[in-house]
Amino acid sequence: MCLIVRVAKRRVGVHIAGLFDLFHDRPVGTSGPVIKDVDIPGLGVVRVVHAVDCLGAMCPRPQLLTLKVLGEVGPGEVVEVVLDNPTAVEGFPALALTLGCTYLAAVREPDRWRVYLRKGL
Amino acid sequence: MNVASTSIATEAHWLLRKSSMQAMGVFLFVVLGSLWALAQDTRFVYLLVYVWFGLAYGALLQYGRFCMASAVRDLFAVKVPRMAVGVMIAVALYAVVAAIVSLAGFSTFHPNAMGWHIVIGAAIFGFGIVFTGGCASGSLYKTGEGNMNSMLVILAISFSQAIVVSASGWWDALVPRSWLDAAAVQAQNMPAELTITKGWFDIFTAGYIWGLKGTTMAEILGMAETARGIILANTLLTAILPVVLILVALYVIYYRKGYLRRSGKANPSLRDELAGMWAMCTSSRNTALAGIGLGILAGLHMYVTGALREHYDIFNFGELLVAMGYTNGLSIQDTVFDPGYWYITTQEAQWGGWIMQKLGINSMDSIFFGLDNGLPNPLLNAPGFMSIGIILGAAIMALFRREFKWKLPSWETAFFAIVGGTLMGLGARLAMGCNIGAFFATVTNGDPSGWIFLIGMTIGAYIGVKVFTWWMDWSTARKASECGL
Repeated sequence: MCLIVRVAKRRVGVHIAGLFDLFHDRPVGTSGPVIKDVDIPGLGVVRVVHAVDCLGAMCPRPQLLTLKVLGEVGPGEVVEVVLDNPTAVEGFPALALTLGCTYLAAVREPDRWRVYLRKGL
Repeated sequence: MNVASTSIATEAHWLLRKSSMQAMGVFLFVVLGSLWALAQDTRFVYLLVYVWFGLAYGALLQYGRFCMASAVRDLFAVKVPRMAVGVMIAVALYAVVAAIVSLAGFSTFHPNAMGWHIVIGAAIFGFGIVFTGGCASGSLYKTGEGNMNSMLVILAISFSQAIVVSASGWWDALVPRSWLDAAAVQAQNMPAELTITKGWFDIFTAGYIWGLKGTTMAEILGMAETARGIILANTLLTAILPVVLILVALYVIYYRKGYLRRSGKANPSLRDELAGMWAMCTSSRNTALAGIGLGILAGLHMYVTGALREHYDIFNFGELLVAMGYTNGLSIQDTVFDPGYWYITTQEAQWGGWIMQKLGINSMDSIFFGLDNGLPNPLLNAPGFMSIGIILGAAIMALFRREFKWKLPSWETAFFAIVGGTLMGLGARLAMGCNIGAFFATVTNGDPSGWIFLIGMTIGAYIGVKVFTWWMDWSTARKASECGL
């Protein structure tokens, strides 16, 4: 009896886990240190030290993550934020002003934006 | 602002791009649908006014990324006043157009009842919007951008409202004695099919809300329905003056310091301060433009619906529906929800209620549906088509700007969407509207209760941001410890 319940439970568990696959299961809003050189049109090559991945994230997560990351990097360093939320992108120039950093560029790609911010004015 | 953006795949003319074609396809669909409706009966023009204003609202909301949730949220989350400024611009313009419409005698506005319920409901609503990533209108336009997370929010708002207004159970007892007594008195004058002493929301409505008064500033000051009352009391005192005060406050608290540092002015003159305020208002051009457009359109919407009511000699779309032979789903007064201006949450409650009704859960014995708003078929729900219009309008704009992208929720965002959306629905019903119906449309028409709503929503958003930040820190810390870092 106990075994049947346990098996049934596991079946249900598998079913529910299967439902998860309908949704994308990539973690939303992750960030990590990277070192890469990016050629930003109109600005030249810029070294990025930290990338924030906000694909699929709803506001205010992108803003809060950016706030946090900018607190961790050093002055003059560049952070890349990858977004697919048009509303969040719109707010980044204003966000940069408040956070005391320089809004370098928003590079448009087919399904995302890459926003570059430099710490410090 | 030096925004360097690259354009990709510019070989095809922008009109010939696939996404532009799709945008035109959606537009054509709305045109053909409208023509089809008119071919059925020309009186559907009344419903189509909602469709096309909705379409325009949606396009403008998407164009300006006009996220009203961020107006209050971002003040606390990241200390950015961008959207708060945009909303204030829209309020000022709506108020001016609303004054003209009122002076012309075509206003469709009804004041909301003033009371404590507004603060409490608005706070619950404001708490919810932090977790859903958008208000009721914001979720509609984001759905139009292909965001399925926002679609979930709308579903949650629809059903939670429908349940709140019609459910009955042990929680019915959680009301003050005075509400029950007042509701019992009201029940004597009510038809038997309405059970207004049963169901929490019915007791709340009959026992509390009906005892409250909603007035415009002009009435309070004894200048009702005079030109002076409309211009001085309703427009200048209730809308323009608070807008100016709020803009000055936003400038001083959030913008002034950074602006003066950037422009290198140590001893700013009044002229510099005014230039700073102007810079704040125009810092996001799209948002400011959308605010202007939305303000003007929202006023015009009242005018067009008001003029059509005059033309058909009706007070409510229900009368037209009866005349056209559609009598299903009307309230016992033969009315349906028909505000005549921009409104969001009530028609979404009707969607949820209609589906529940079809599933055999009777909701028509409630005051909200049975007496006031009815439960029309979604195909005949005029304000409902305004919500669909917002989705389609936003989709057209997003497709044209190549910003449309199907986005499926993750488990975390889906959970937040459902919980936040449910709270938004609950809050919107308690406060008798959302940030559109209970704030935007009220303060611009001389009803000061909208400012109370804004205060409540701000309090809720403040608490919401605190909880959301705590959640983010906690979940990051947990993930880090799981990875053994």
